[in-house]
Amino acid sequence: MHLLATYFKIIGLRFLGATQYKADFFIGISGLLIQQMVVVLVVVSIFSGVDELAGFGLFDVLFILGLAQLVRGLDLAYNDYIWVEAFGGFAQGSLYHYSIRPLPIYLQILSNRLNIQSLGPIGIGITLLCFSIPELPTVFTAADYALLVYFTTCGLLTMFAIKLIAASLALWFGRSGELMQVLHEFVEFIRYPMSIYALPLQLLLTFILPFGLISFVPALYWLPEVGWPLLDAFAVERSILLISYAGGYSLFFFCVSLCLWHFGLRHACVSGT
Amino acid sequence: MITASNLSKHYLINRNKASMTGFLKSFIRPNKEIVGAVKNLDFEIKTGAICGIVGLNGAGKSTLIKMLTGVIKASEGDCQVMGYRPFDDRQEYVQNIGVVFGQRSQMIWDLPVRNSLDILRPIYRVEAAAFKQNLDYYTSIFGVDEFIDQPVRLLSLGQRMRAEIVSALLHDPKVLFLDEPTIGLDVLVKKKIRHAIADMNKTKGTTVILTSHDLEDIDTLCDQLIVLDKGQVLFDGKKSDFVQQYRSHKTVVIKLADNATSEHALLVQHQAKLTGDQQWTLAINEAETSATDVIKQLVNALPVIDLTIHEQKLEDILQSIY
Repeated sequence: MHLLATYFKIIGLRFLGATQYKADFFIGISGLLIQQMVVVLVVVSIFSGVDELAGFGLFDVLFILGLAQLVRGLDLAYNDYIWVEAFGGFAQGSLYHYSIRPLPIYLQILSNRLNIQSLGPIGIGITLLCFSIPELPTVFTAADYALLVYFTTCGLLTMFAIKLIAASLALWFGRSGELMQVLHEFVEFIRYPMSIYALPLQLLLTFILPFGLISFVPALYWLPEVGWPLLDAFAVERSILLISYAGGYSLFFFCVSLCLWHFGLRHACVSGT
Repeated sequence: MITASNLSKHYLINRNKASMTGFLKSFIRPNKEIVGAVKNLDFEIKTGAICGIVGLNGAGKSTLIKMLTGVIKASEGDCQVMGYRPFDDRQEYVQNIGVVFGQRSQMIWDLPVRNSLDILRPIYRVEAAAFKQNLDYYTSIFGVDEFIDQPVRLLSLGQRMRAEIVSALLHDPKVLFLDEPTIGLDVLVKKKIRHAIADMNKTKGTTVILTSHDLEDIDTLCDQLIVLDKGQVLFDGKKSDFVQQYRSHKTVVIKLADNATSEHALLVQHQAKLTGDQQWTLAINEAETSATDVIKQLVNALPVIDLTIHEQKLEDILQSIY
């Protein structure tokens, strides 16, 4: 509790610092907002020509897009500074500063920045979810909304874990931002139903870089009529399989990333004055 | 209070050539070498001491400070500070120490200094009353109160460094580590910082570990000295003992009465040089001659009206041993 309170105090100050540059502040927010609106326009224009995409209707795709944008936006908001560290921050000695404060090192990295630009994807994500949920074949109850929070949390854990795995390598090599960027590029695929891609890519996004569980897997839960060959490979009830896959896989990745991070901290070889 | 035994730190260095061929070779036949940054250090620093760690670039000063502050793990040996093992007990240990790395800032760039200092209260869980008392005391002795409401980005280097040191002290650390605290500062700011550190050490009894290339810092502040050379301890003990052990020269300046002969045999014998009106300067190598004997001879034989003895500065002594 104390850590959380301290985090919010520090992040409040960082936010205050960011607001000192008002032009940057507004350009940042509006830039990403416009980018997100363009993405939505692309989807809408695609569906002006076709009724469905691999079995998904317009609102189904908007639900996937909304959830993807929401999770990406939340991740961008609180977990953006790790990019700076992966792109050479550790090599330049930032780890020394973190090490001399009585707080967990990753918490200090998180508290370095609250990215205001995230308001764009978060806003668009929530708006799309608000428009698409009433049009889904399932009527949302309180339990469904709770499950939506669960899937969102699983998505955030996955994003966090994949970034942390990539960033941990910077503890050995000084720099791993390029690798993190390459891995992060795959998150672009989650804006659309994964079943439209080739099978190797689907397998990659399901088991190796499991970004698929951010938006596609939750969508399958609320779209029971839509099939997916990978689901049929397991003789488990669909909803249980989807829920346990999202929770189990994201938790597994999270644990692996934490182990790698702590192992890296013990063997970090940054040096020099 | 601070003990190091057989403390060593090794780094693995890639010795392949910095070229495309070297890069490709490094995959097939990596040429790696283990380089010892510090080797088998043994020392002890007592509570309340101000200990200077000196050495040339690459002597291992910063590596040693980083091991003592828990930033990096020792490859071999052991170090303990106040009973803590710095790297293993990091989160609990750093609650009791303050650290300033002279070349890196810990302040929030765009906000007033006060914000950067105030946020340390929840981080170190300091009681409000104690924090306010420390804030008033340290900002006053370091002169930070004069610019506490200015944004950090508008501060001069000297002001920022003083604020950095204050930020390392507000939680009442028992040990303060200062790594090059006066780097790039002008003489007045250096003097102010030295004075404040001495004051704090006297008033609060804080142990201070200091590395600096400015030996004036060490000479003014430290009572204990650890001299490092190529990662090994060359000397560990009282600063006065070091000076005693390694000092080889004294310089004597004598002023003679106006009626004294200008070329006295005794002055010639000691290779004295005329450095002013009837003022002679002679260097005495104490390894060969006793300074007391030479001075006695001079005073007895010459009409001396003034005599000054200059000890070798710490800087000169260190220069002579490296």
